Amino acid sequence: MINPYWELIILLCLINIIFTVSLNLILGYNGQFSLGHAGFLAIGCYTSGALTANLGWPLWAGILMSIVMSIIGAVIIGYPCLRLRGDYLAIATLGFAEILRIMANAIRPDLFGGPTGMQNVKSFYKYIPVPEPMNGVGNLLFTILFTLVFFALLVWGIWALASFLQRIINRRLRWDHWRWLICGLVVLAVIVANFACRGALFYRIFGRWHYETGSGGARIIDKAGIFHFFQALTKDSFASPQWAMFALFIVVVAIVTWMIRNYLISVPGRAVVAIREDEIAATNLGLNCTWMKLQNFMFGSALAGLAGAMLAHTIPLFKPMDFNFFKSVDVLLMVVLGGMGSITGSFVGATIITVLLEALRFLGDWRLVMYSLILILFMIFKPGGLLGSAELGQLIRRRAETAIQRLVGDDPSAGSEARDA
Amino acid sequence: MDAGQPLLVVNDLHVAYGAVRALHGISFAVRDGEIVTLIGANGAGKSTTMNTIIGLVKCRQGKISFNGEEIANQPAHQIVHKGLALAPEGRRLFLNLTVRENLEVGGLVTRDKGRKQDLLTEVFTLFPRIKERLRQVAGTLSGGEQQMLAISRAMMQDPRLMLLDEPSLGLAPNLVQEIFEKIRYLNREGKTILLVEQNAYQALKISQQAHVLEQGRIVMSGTGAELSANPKIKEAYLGG
Repeated sequence: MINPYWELIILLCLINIIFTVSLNLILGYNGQFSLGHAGFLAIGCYTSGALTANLGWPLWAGILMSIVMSIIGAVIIGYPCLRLRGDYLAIATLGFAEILRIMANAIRPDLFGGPTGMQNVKSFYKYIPVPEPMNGVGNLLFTILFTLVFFALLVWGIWALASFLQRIINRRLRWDHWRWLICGLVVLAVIVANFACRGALFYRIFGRWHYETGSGGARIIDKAGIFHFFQALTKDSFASPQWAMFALFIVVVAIVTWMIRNYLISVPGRAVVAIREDEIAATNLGLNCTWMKLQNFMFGSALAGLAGAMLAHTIPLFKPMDFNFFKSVDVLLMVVLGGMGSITGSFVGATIITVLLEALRFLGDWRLVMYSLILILFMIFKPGGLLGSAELGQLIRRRAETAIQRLVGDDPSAGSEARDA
Repeated sequence: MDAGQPLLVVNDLHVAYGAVRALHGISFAVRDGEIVTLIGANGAGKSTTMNTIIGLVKCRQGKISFNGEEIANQPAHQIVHKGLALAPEGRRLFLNLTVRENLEVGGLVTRDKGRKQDLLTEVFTLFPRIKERLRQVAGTLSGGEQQMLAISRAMMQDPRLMLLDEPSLGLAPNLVQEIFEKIRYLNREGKTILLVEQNAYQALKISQQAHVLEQGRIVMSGTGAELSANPKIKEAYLGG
């Protein structure tokens, strides 16, 4: 069990990731300034909260409605503003978020809780059935599955590394089978390392098994290996609602990320990036800029609504003041810190700021000062955000490529991806 | 080359930016398979003509018909789907995207994947340099390469009529020569081209029809050869 405080922070991180990615889609990929993104979070939060807690709707309908309501909000604000070029959207969304906040304060306190907020929204825990501790067969199946995945990832990792090195070495020393040599060397190195530490390495990975010729066959007698680790994990921890909650959130984040990735390499995604770069040129190329911007804005807002709905069922209490201008600034900072136009950057930015906000809590009101200071430093030394517009994988690959080329003595500028970080 | 049916007909086109009138009723036609050039001094209204045809600027009065269809004052994204493509003045590339991404965005109009691949092959045969630079960011290309990319991007839209606005702007003389050769090649491959140029000498040499614009009016028209032989043109645009 992770203690409930950290559990909440982890869940908030995951929600903020979705929220940040949703703004990144609008700000980073399309270049449209939305200064009131907390408004869409509020729509999601209040819609799902009010519908499920006060009107007795089922959870799935509440979440679906909050996405729908966010999209409607996005159309109301986006349609007039996105027909224009410039910063009109920023001002309109800013006003929109404030109007929503004041409305939540004043309208139907029986439904939305008024200024004190809503406390009666049921947490996800109330919906998740507490998983039964796993029986022997289920446990064994999960353990085998996890172990297989683990070793598959290990092999794939070594193979990917070898293929990568192959590409680089092949430039200088032409031979098509470097990767096999490298894989062989890695295996050899592992065996040698195992010998060097007197079998401790294999012991850690595989545990110790006992073979009986008579009755039972192979049997674990020393529970140290990966297999046992997964066995223990699936048996005890998996049975807790906490893990079910983490799993649920991680699955949602994964699905959202996958959707966005596909969106960005499809026609509308490409169009949206082109519009950020040069709207007139994009028009020239036959793109309906207003519609493209609007549907991107709708997509981003829908995700913010989803984040809001998830937030409503995670935190014990929310009130209108939680969705004030500073909330919008927070998410803006997460995007900018991570890097505009980088999904993995948003992951990093959201995590850092969420954790930072908690870590600096002991400073009281000085927290905001520290917070601004960190941001000023960032703007001075890393103005493009942590990752710029590159993804984490690209960045690591590029770094490694230059480093190795320097090692091999190749010209690092030749044939490399020239996109600057 | 034999000139076919009129593909683009511009009739009595009036354009104004607020109170400033840019075009005072110009009329011309581009026939299928031709290269037609508009030459003129700065502010004569050449680029305005181009932008109005493609739909970036609305016209006050007049008709533009493309392939028999009226396209004046339609939104740009609809006009482009009818088979016109503009390589705009100043290139207007997506400088932070790679060359490949630029071409991909250019090809968004073309939905057919096979056709898209054919177009890409066409681009690579015309500009082998573009193929070498596919992974490079467009902003790091040289001026000549950027111009080639701008033309390639317009080619990816699979147009019948290409509007090229100042393709030789800011290029070294040998590159200008190369660009004009490519334009000629494109024309031989069957593209109709409407060209706007400051470099009147080169432009007149390759074009079948040319029109001279002065302060928003067409003051002279003729074949490329006729105009380059005209003493007035020689004095005003060809440097004596």
